[in-house]
Amino acid sequence: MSGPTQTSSEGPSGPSYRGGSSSKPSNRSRFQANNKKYGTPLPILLPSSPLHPAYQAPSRDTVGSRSSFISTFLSVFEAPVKVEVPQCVGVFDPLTRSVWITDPKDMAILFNRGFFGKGTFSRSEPTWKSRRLDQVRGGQSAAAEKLREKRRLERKQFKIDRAEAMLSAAKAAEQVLVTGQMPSEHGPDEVAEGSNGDAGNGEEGNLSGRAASPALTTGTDVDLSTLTPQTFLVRPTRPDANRNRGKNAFKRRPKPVTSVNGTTVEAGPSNAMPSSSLPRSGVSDQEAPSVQPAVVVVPDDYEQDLSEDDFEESIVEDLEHLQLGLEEAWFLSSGIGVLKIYDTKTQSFIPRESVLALLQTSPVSRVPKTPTAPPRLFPDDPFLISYACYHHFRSLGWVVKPGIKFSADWLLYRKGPVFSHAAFSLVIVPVYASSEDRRKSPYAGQDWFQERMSWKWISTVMRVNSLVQKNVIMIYVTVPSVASFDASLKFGDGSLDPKKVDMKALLRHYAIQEVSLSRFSPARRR
Amino acid sequence: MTIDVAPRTLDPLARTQQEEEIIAACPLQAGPVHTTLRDLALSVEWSDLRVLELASTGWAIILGHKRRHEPLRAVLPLPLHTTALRPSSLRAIFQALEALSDDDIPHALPDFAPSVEELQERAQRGKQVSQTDGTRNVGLPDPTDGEENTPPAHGPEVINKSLDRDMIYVAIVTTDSTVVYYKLTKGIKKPADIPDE
Repeated sequence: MSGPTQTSSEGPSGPSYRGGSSSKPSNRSRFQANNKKYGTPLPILLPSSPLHPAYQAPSRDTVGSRSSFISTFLSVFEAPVKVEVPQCVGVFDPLTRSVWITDPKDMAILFNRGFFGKGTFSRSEPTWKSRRLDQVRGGQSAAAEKLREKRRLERKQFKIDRAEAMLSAAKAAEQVLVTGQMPSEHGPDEVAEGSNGDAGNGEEGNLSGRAASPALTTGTDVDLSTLTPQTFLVRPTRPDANRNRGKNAFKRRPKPVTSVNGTTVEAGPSNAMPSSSLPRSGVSDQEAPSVQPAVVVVPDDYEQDLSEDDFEESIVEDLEHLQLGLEEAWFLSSGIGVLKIYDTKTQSFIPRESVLALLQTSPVSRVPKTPTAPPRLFPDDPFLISYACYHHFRSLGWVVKPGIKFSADWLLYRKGPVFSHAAFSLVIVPVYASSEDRRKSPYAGQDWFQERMSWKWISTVMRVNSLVQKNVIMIYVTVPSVASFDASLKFGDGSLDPKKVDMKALLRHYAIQEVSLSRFSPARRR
Repeated sequence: MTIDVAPRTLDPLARTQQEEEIIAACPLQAGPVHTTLRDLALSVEWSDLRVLELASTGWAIILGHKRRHEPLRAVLPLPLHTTALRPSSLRAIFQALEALSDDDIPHALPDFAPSVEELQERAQRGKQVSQTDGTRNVGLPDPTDGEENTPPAHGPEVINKSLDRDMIYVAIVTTDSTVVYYKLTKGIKKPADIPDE
C-alpha cells in the first residue's frame, strides 16, 4: 500500500515499512523490505525463505563460479534441512467469540505470514505499544494510524480551503456585479482578471494547482458581458495523498510550524490514533500543539541512549493482543494446522475435531436445549456459510480480511493490506438447496442474510464501494441439504454432529459462485 | 513440536464489578461492551468511562468524555448481526437518556493504563535517577503507588459533567475486535450542526 512518505525513525525492520528516513527510500526498496517481512505465507517455511533460520543468502561472488558448483554438489550429501511449520497458541474467549493470541512471537508469525488477525487497539497490525512509546518519547512515528490521521487532516483542510475559495469567488463576483468595477488586488489567492475578454479561460484553477494571475488595479471598469461564473473561481486541488486527483496540494494557509529545541517540527496531533472510525479525542487540528505542555521534550534526533530506550519500553506495558475471528481461527487450526486453541473453561487444548463445536453459531433457536444436549450443527449455520467463502478464497491465495468498514462481508487483497488496497469486496448470499431446510432452519427469521435479497441494499453496498474503488462480488453459497449428508454424521432430528463432521468432507458439500457487479449508466457508457 | 504449556489466559485488562454486572444483565451486548470499552479507553482515548444499563430498556450504554470540556456522550455497543435495535428500541433509549439524572450516572471506571503524561513523568524520574547516582532503579517507589485504582488527576481543567442527550454513538463490533462507530442524532441536522466534525 503506497502512502505518503514521511520522516520516520523506523527502517525496514520496523513494523511495516511505510515511511522512510530522511533519505527517503525508493518504492522498490520499501517493497522489497515489505516482501521480505510479509512475503512468506503460512504454513510452510522453506530453507530458501529469508525467514528460515538456516537461510543463506546467495553470495554474488560465488554465483556462477566453479566454487558454487562444488558447493551445490556437496550440499546433496548434507543432512536435509527441515521444513518448518510453526505452532502457535491461541485462547478462545467465549465473551467476544474470538481467539486471542497473546504471545508476541505467535502474533508476529500469524500477522506477518498471511495477515491473520487484528491488533485489538490498532487498525490492523498490532502497533499499540510502539505508538504509545512514540507518544512517550514525543516522536512522530510512521504507523498506519498516524498516516491515516494525517491524510484525514489534509482532506479536511482541503475542504475548508475549497469552501473558502468558493465563498471568496462568489463575493468577488458579487462585488463586480454591484460596482461594475474590478475588486482591489488581495494577493495571489484570489482571482481577478483584466478586461480583455480572456477571463473565461485562464482564471479557473486547474488540477496542476497553478494559481491565477493577480488582479488589475482597483477601479478598472469591466465589461460584465465578458465575465463567466468561473472567472473568479480558484479551484483548489486535492492533497497529494489522494492518488487519483491532482498532484500539487493547494495550501491556502501553510501548516503552522513551531521550533522545538532548534529543530523545525510540523504541528500536528501527537495523540495515539484510533483503530476504529471514531474521530479521536484530545487535540483537534485547530489546536495542533507540537509539544506537550509541562513535560520533557525528547530530542528529535532519535539517537537516544540504549538504556533509556529499554527503560521506557519497560514502563510501557503491552496491553494489546492479536484477535482472530472465528473463521480465521478454524482455518489456522483445522485448515492448515498451525494453531492450537486453548479453552479456559476446561483448562486444556481443544482437539482439532472439537473446534467446530466451539465456533458454531448459537441461534436464538427453536431447538430445545437441555442441560446435556450436545451441540447441533446445521448446514446453514452462518459461521459455516461465511467460512466456506473464506476458505475458498484463502485457498486460491487471496488475503481475506473482514469487510465491515465497507458494508461487505470480506475484502480480498492480492498480497496483503501492506502492499495494496483491497481490490474486491465480497458480499455473501446463501442459497438453499432445499426449501424445506430453509423453513425448518433455526436461523430463519434472524437477520443473518435476509436483507441481502433486496436491490435497495445491494445499491447501498455498491454506492459505498464505488467511492473507495472496490469491485463488488456477490458470492452465492449453495447451502447443502441435510439429506445430502451421511446418516452416521447426523442426530435423530436431522441435525449434524459437529464432532463427527470433518472439515474437508463438510466443505465438499458447499458450492460457491462468484458474480461481479458493476454499475451501468446508459447515458455515460454510450 | 508438542506444545504442552498453557498460554497466558489472564486478561491484563480484567473486568471490573461494574462491567460484570452489566455483562450479566445484557448478554446480547456482553462482548461488544467489553471490546468497545477498551477500544474507547486505549485506542480512541476517551476518558472517565462508565458503563450502565438504561432503566427499563434492557440496553447497556457506555458514557465517557471525548474531550473533558465537552459533555458526556453515550455509546451503544452492538454485535454485528442483530436485528434487536428497532426504531422502538431507539426511541426508548433516547427517552431513557432524557430521564437519566446525575445521581444515576455511576462513577468513572479506573483507567486501564497510565496516561502518556504519567509515563513521561516516570521516564523523566528514571532519567533523573540515573543522572544523579549513575544507576537506574526501575523499582523506585512510585509516589502514586496504591492509587492505581483511583481515577488519575488529569490536571486543573474544567470537566463538563453534563450529558449530551440528543446524540448517541452506535458501536458495531466484530469478532476480530474491529469497532465501527456511527453517530445517531434526533431529527434532521446538517453536518455543520453536528459537533465534533
